[in-house]
Amino acid sequence: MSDRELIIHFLEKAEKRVRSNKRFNDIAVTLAIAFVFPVVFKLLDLFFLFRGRTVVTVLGLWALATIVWIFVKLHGKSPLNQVAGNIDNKARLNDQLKTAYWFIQNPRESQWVDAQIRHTANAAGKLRLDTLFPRRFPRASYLVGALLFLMVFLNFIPVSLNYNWLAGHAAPPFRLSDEERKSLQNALKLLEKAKAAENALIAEQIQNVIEDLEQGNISQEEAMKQLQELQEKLEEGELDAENMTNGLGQMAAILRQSKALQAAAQQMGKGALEEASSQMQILNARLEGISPADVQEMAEKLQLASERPRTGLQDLARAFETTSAALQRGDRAAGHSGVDRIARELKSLAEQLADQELRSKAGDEIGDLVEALQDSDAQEIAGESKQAGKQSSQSKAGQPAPGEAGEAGENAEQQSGQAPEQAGEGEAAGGEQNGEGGEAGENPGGTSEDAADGKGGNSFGGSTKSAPLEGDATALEVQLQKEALKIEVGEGGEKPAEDVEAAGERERSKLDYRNAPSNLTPAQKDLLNQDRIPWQSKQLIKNYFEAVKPTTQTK
Amino acid sequence: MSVAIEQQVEGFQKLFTRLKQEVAKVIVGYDDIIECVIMSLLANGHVLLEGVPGLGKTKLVSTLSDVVHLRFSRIQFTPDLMPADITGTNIVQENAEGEKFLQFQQGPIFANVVLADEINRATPKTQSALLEAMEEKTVSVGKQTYKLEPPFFVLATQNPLEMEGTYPLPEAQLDRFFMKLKVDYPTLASLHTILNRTTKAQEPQVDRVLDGPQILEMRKTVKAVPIARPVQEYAIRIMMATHPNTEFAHSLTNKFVRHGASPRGSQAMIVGAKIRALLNNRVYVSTDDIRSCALGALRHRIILSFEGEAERIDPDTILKGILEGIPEPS
Repeated sequence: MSDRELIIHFLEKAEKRVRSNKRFNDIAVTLAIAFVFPVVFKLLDLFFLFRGRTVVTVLGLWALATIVWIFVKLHGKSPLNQVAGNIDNKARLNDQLKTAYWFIQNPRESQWVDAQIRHTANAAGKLRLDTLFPRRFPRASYLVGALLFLMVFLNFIPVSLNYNWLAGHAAPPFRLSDEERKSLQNALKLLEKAKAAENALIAEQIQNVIEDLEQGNISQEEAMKQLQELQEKLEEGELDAENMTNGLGQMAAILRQSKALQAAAQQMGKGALEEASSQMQILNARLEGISPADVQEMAEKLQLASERPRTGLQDLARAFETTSAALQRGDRAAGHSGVDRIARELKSLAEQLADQELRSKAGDEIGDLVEALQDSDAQEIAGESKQAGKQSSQSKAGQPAPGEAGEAGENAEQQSGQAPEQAGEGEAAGGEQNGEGGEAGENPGGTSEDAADGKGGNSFGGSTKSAPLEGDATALEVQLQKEALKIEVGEGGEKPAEDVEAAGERERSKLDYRNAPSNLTPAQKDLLNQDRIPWQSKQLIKNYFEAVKPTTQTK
Repeated sequence: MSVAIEQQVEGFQKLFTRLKQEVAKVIVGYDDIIECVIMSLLANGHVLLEGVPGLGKTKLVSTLSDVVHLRFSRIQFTPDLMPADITGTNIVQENAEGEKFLQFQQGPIFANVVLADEINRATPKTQSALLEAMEEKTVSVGKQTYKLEPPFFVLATQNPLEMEGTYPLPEAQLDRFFMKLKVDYPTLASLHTILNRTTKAQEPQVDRVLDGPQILEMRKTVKAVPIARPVQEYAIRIMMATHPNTEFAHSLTNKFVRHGASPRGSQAMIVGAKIRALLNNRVYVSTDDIRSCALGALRHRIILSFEGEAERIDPDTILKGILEGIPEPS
């Protein structure tokens, strides 16, 4: 190997070593810089809770960028003259290798040049690359290690709102609050307790809805809609149950007139159907000992109670009727059987009512959950509306922005299903602040509480005062002013004017509307029940009725 | 072949060292100055020594002339000195037949080593009499041009310009000097040695160690040292950095320099660097060699601007800034 080849070979070897050291260092430095990002991202996640999709997207892009960066940094070789200069500096060779390499690249006929190359080749032979460019662990790698440790630590901080990315967890798109979760758990427990087979299906459906909501598969709006449907399904039988209870009360009133049936009737009247069933069993046991007159009386009352049964009590009524017929015939065996059947029917009814009660309670819990979700939704929209109001007032510099306010208000109303019409003051305040405040007041600028105290009337009014007023501002109070009603003049002279409410009170029905007998079949009732109020409007209607409630009663 | 080169380098080093040692017998405390003066002699250049009176400038030159076996002449520059007093003149002569003719009478410039003592005391006209001799190594008188015998070496001394009765050297004249060396006051230890040597009955004697042909041979050796282009470019960049308002100009240059160094400056740097390389037993020039010669080769070639003069900027400050600012070639 000639001196020239020796030098080139040495430089190539050195270049490889320098490159590998540089690569190692570059990777460490790049990773040290790059790992700052996920750590900061994770820190932010502790406060802002990023969704799984966001985390995966951002970290994916970060990983891609880091790989590209590393690839770009590692790409390419160092020129040999640079390596020569580097060795000259490290080995204090006074530019010997650098100039020798230049003379090799630019050969010339000179003894001096040959001498220099020979000297350089000798010097290069004595150099040790391990000494000049030792393989060291880059300092930046310690930083990488520290950042990795920090990343792991941050993922394992035992905080309720910390999700371990390393375990593939991330914040769900939606998270139930503790209260909401409690409601859900209660509802599910109640459904579990209830025996009806349908309940398990409903419970599963509820769980699916919540799961879908938390995973972001459905919107909050959709979830509320579905939960409300399930709630209605659970409460469907509530009316029947009440009807049945009333029917049982009426039956008990009739049966109480029979001496033999008095004990059982009393329990029925109290709604203790299990007890009533037991009493019936006792009665059955001592049926032989009852006098024929009492038996006759018993048969009559059973016959009377079996007439026009309420919905759900037909079976019981039939049992009454059969037993009554058997007793009247004097067929004691059939009488025993009939009383036993009554006992069983009562027991069955007891279970049915208990089941319905549990379903109703579960329905109430779901209702609470839906309301809580509605509130949170309304708060979000209120926040957005406030922002929009700010932007609007900024952009218009105090001028009214009717289009925006109106649209936003309507939009918000559609989304939230809130009905802040009751916020008469709020509306009025809105009107004063903004020319379009009336419209803006329609949007549920705040929660129902806000609306109730009039704060939610206008989210878009901001501080603008220059908007022209279109007539006097209206308030719900004005509409609710009691209208004087002229009553007919009696003989004693003219009576003072009486308000509608007082008139209504005088003529109030003593019969609860729910107890009004209905001839409708269950299918017909279901059909009627299906014509339900749109869920978006429920709050609105509720608020309306809350608002028109007489002040004395409200207080 | 290469053995011959090594012998040549070794011989060069020996002669140089011996020459230096001989001069150092008389001149104490100015090793760098002595080395630079010898380097200038071997680089076929001239030296301007600047320093206050009494620092041994003239002694250094006279000692050098004693050490080298060459013809030496001294010109004491005074304000009334005329160019002809330096170059020589045609004088009327009469032959045996009584015919008169003009014969050129050589001036003191016709020597191998010329000491131009206190050169800045003469008028610029007289100073300029040296221009042709220093660059072309010829002297023109009338219609005749006379060649100076090589080696021709001018050693000029000057007092700082602030001193009374001095005329600044023209830029063209300054540019012809290979190096300008500043002679500072000697150190305490050096002064002790000077006094010990000069106040005794016997003054130190020097031997003649070098003659003209040897000097010429050494000059050939110097010129043969190769220089790689990146190193040469480094020298060029340093020189170009002294040019104000150019692409390569240093910030200090733009602020304080009116005229930068000429290509003679980079020539001086490279030749000086070659000598340094040989003295360091190297057969190639490094950037370190260039740096070590930059101040001596360029300081007198930088003409300060009004701002530079007003702020009393030392050209060395500018050059040091340039050397720090220019990266080494890769």
